[in-house]
Amino acid sequence: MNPTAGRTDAPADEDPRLIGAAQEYLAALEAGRRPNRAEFVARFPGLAEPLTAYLDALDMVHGAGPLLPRPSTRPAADGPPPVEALGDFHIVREIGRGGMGVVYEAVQLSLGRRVALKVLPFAGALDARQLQRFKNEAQAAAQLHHTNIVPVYAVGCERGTHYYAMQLIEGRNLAEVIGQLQSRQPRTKHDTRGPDGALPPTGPELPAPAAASTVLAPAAELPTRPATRTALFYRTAAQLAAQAADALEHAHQFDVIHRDVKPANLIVDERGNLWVTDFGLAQFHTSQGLTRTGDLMGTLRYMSPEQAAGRHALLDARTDVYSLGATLYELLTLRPMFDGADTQQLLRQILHDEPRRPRAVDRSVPPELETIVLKAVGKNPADRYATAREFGDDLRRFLDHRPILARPPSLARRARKWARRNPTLVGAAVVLCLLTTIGSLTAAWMIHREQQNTLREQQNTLREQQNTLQEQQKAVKRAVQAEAALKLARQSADEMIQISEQELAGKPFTEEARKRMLTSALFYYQGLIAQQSDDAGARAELAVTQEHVNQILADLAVLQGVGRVDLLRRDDVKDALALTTDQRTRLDDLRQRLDHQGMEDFEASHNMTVDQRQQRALEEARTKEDVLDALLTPRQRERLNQIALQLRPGLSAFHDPDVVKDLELTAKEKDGLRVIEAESFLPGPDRRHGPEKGPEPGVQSPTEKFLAVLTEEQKGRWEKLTGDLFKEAPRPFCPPPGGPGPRGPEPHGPPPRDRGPEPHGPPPPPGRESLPHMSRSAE
Amino acid sequence: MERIDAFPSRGAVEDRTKAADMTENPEQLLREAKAGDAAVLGRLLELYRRYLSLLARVQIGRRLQGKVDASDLVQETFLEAHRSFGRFRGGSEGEFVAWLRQILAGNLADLLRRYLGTQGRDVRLEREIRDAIDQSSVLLDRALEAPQSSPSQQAERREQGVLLADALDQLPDDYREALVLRHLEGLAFPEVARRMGRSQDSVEKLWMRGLARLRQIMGGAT
Repeated sequence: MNPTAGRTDAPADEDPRLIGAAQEYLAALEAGRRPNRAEFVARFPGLAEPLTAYLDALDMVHGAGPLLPRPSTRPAADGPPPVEALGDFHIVREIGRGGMGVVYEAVQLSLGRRVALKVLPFAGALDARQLQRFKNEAQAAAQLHHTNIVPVYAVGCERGTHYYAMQLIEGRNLAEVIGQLQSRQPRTKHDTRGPDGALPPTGPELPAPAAASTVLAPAAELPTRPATRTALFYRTAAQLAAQAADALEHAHQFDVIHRDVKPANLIVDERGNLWVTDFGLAQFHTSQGLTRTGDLMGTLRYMSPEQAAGRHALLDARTDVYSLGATLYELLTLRPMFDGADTQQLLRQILHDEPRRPRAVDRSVPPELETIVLKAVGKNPADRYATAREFGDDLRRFLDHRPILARPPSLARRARKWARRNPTLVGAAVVLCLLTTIGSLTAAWMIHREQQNTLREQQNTLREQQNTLQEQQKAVKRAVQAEAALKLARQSADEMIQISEQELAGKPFTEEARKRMLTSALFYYQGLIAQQSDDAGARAELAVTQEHVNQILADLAVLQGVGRVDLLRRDDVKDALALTTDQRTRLDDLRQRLDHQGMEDFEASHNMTVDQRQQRALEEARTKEDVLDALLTPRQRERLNQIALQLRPGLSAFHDPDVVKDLELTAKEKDGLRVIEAESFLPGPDRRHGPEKGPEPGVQSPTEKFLAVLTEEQKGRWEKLTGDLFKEAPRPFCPPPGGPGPRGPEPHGPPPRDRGPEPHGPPPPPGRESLPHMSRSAE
Repeated sequence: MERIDAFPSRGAVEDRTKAADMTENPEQLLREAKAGDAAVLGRLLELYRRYLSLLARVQIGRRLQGKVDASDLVQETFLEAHRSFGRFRGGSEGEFVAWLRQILAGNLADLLRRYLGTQGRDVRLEREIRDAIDQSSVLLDRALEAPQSSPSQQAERREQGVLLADALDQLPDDYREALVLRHLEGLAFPEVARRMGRSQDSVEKLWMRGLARLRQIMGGAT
């Protein structure tokens, strides 16, 4: 397979210097620099010839268009400044380099003032439309006037070099501050502070706009050693974050979203004021500069989940709230919130992992700040502060020793987070919720009864004037308790609706769980309404909710129908329904249309709110319903419903409230259902949940097990519901040949890509034997 | 070691036709195809098979590897291109490649969605696929962003991307693997080593040899 063994194309590759040199060059390319070739090669005497060949190849691989989006390597931006003057600006010296370009200290000649001049590295890669967009953004940012926003003086273009000029802030950015604090962390005995307790001057090794090596004023005196980090340290951190929040709030008022809030973009000046810089430039960053590994990581680390997932159109102020929260997290703990070492790992953490609690990293972090930070960095924008102002206000409450508004995640919210991560286990969560609700309802009833008893007793003891007052007080107290318990019960039911509608809506396979949750919630609402028989107002209010839940349930019924249309993609289903040639042709046309629309929906769904997404799904479902009605005969429709029921994954069909009703499942039978289900979740030889697994002879499927529990009559009804046994044909992709048994618990695999109508279509590939995913995911 | 099958065995046949490929003028073929010659369209598409395979492979991500085959996706893309060629309005190779990429992206998203939609009952698998989708969507975004750069740059870059994919295809398997993982999937060497089931040392050597060979192959192109 490898014909290279005897080749001579690698004579010198054994030289470790060569490998080191090539890697160094690659690292430079990935950091967005293109080293001077001659100088670079000259550093490795004797290796010039082979090295040149490798560098050529690296240039080729690295410059290869959209396969590997090319970092900008314009010498104008990345080399030394091409000229000493840019228009009105005279360049004095370079003061920093970053993802957004090179920053120079310059003098604006017409006004004689010193400015920071940022030259954009990506200018050469922008087309006219993008340049216009950049100018618009920069101008919008230039309109922002706020004490905590670095003012933009001018945006311009001179001889093809794009730049913008802003106020020169003398100070250090938070990335440097954090870096310095980190570097001191291991030291425990040696205090690096100067005699006056202030920070040592910024060392020359620190990059970036550390223009003035002035000593930071006390307010900015963040660093003391971690072991002795005091309340003052945390107050200063909170103060800085509050200033940043103010700046962001101001920008948000003008519809400018920063999109790249991170320590490197927050500068602390000599007086301890914080300045936010680089407004509105992040999108250029993302489209052009992000390919440089270093920049990508530096920016990605603070990116909100929605931004990291590429949902650019959906970004609002809360993405900045998140990034500022992640920045504050790092300032408090001196560790990045997510420490993934490569892009993929980092993405995974941002999208799925909850951050470690700051106090788990460092016990000295004040609990209020922990709560504030964790609220700001909620995965779901709805969990965060709605605005930067709210974020800042809560920080100030902390600073003023007033109670903060943010709450540590409640049990309910943690449950929701968990449900979001484990949507298929939500069935179990439902049980949990039910228990909670039953508990609180029981309490409500008991207290209610107690209250009635008390009132009776009260009447009996009316004659004894002395005791009356006391008893009344008790009664009032109990009434209050009963009301509180009722409120709790209602909250639990509301929580169920909320989980169903906010967390699960729009997610695949959750219709079942939602339906169950909502049905349960409805049941409790009915109970609550009955209980409130003497309070018309409360009853009316509850009835509205009940109505709402009923509406959702009706919509869900439509949504559940969608699966049946998808079943019609399968040839075996088509055959089982004996579709005519005409029907198949029409079906194929429809399929293409729906697929196309589905694709658009999928793309668009990134940018939708949950409500919109649901609405869209509902419309789609209704369309499909109509399609079915128009296309199939009543007999075929019925058969399709039967097949759909047979193909429901696992035992989920038996959870369907309609089926439960039809089979009149008893509580005991439902218990049995859960037991069998729980067993089938367990790993091990009995585990029969994986789509790759074929039927094992002699082992009963969960469905068979459960049917064995039922009465003959129930079995009869089930058979009537499901009709004749549907025989599945093996399908490409997966599962592998010898797929699941006809009534097995396995979810059906993806439908085959329809290759029917294309005359030039290749034969479908043979079923591919794939590894059981258990071992795959264990790696 | 996980075998990654981005370049199926048709490669052998293609090697023989490669010389012919090189002499084909894509834009000439495009004009003829637009005139209604279906056979020419087939020839034209073949020019981009290796490029699209590589793109598909990188975007599928390793989590779906073995479950979804890049060559199937490319085949789907070609079928779709045949079907919808009437709707393609562009005239340059750059536009054509962008169009193909868009179809590929659509197919991939469709496939992932369908995959998720029918197999997600298992919690772990589902989470894995979600990860893959999230990652792919970032990659897809990036791939779809490219058309925003200027037309001449696009042509230049695409050309280069296609040439690079073709050149990579001619490399021995393990050379190519090292280069793809390091450069296209952006992994660090220790991770590349882990994925290839080799020592870092040997992976670095494979990488160096791959680079050297790549330059020999592409020597004329730059």
